[in-house]
Amino acid sequence: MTALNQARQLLESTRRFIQTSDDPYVISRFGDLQIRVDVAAALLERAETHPSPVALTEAQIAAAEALIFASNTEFELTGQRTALPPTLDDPLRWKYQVVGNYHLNGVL
Amino acid sequence: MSAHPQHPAHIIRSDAEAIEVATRLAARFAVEASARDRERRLPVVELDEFSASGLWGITIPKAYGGAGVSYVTVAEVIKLISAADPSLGQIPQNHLGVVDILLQTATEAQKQHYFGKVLQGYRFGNAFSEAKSKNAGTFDTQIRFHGDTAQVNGEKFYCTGALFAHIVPTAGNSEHDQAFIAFVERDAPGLTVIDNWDGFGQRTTASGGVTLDGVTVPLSAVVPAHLAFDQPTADGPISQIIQAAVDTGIALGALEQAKIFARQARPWIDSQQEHGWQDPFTIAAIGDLEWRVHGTEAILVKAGKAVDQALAEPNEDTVANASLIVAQAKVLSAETALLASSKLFELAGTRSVTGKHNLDRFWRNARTHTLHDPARWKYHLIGNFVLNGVKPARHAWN
Repeated sequence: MTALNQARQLLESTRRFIQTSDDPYVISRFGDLQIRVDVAAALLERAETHPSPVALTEAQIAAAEALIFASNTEFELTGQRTALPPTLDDPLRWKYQVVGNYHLNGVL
Repeated sequence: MSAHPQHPAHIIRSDAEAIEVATRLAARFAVEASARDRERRLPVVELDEFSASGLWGITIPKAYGGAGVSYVTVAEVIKLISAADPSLGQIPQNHLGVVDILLQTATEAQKQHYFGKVLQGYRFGNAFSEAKSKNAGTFDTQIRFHGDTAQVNGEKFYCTGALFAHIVPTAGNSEHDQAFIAFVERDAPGLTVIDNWDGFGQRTTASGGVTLDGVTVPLSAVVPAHLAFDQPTADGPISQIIQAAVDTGIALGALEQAKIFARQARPWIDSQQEHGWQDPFTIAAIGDLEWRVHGTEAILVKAGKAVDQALAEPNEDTVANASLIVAQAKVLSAETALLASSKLFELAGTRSVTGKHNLDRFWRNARTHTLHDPARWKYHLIGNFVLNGVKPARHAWN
C-alpha cells in the first residue's frame, strides 16, 4: 500500500474510533491531518499533470510526512499504533536533497 | 482621488489573456516593490496601470460584457501580482469580493450599472471592518432608509483600497440589524478616507480609517448584502481564496529570493565545501520549502475549482465544500509564507539582513496579511466537518 493510502486509512480508522468530539484540540487535529493527506494527494495529481523531474519526489515527501503525522495522531487519540511498512531502502531524508538540488542548483 | 478613472480600462476576454497580462504587470511591479515598501510610497501610478489593464474586471460574467474567468485564474492572477508586490495583490481583494456581492444580491439594474463601471475601470475600495465593534463580523455603522435615500453613519478601519477607490462600498446594519452595503462615491460629502495605516507589513495598502458622517446615497446605490450569507453562496470562499492567493504569492516571492541569496552565500566552515550552494543542509532545506510551496499552489488550484462549482451550482454542499478547500489553501499559504520568509535568512546568512536588501519585507508582509483571520480556526473548521460532519459557518471569513 502506498504511504498516501495508508495515511488515509489511519485517518479513517482513528475517526471511527473517536466517532465524535467537542474537544477543540481533537477536532483541529483532524483538520490538520486532513490537510496533510489532501496536500499529498494534490501533489501526486500535480506530478501527473505538470511533469517536472522531481514532482513525484515532492509528492512522496508529502505522503511520507502525512503518514507519520497520521500515525502519531492515531497513537495520541487511540492509544494504539498500527505498524508502518519499513522504509529503510528508500530514505525520506534524501528526497529533500533530490528536490532541493534540482530547484537550487539545477542538478538531477 | 477623483470619483472617476482617468482612462478607460482594457477589457480582458479570456482566462489565458488574464494570466498573460498579470505576468507582464507583475514583472513591472516587482522592480520598485522594495522601494515602495521602504518609503511607504503609495502605489497610485501602479494601481492606475493595474485597473486599466482590465484585471479588475475579469470576474464580471460574460452576460455583462466581462470574461467571467474561473476562480483558478483569479487566484493565479492575485498570486502572480503578490509574488511581485503583495500590497498590490491585496488592494483588489475587496473590489473582487464586492463584484461577487453585487452578483449575489443586487437588482438587475444595479448589476448593469456597477458591472459597466467596473469594466470602464472604476475601482471599489471598502469600508467594511470596524476596529471598535465587538468582533470582526459585527458593525456599529448604521444604514437608515428614508424614502428613496439611505443615510450612513459610522467609523471604519482596515479599509484597504478606500484611499485609491472611485467608489467606496460601505457596510452597515439596518434598523432590523441586517447588513447592507451602500456604494458611496469617493467624493461624496460626509465621506472621509484617512491615510493612517502604519502597520509594519503590507505598508502600501493604505488599510486605514474611513468615517461616514451623514453620508446620503440613493436607494439604487444600496444592496442587501446579508442575502449573500442568509442563503448558501460562494461569497465567503471567494473572499477567502483571494487572501490565500496573496499569501501564496508572498511564499513564492520569498522562496525565489531564498534561492538567489543561498546561491551567493559563503560556504559554512564545517561543510568543507567550496560554495554555499553545495551545503547539504541548505539543499535539503530548499527541498523542504519547494514541496510545501508546490503543495500550497496545488491546493489553491483545487480551491479555485471548488469555488467555480459553488458559483455554478450554489447549495449547502457545494458552498461547504468550497469553504473547506479554501480553508486548506488559507492554512497552507499562511504557514508556507511565514516559513519561507523566515528560512530565507537562515539559508542566506547574515549578509541578507542588511538594510539595502530589505528582505524582511517578505516576513513583515506575510505576518501582517495572514492576521486577516486566524489559521488556527481553519484547522477546527476542517476537523469539525471531518469528525463531526458539521458544515462551516457561512460568513465573509469562511
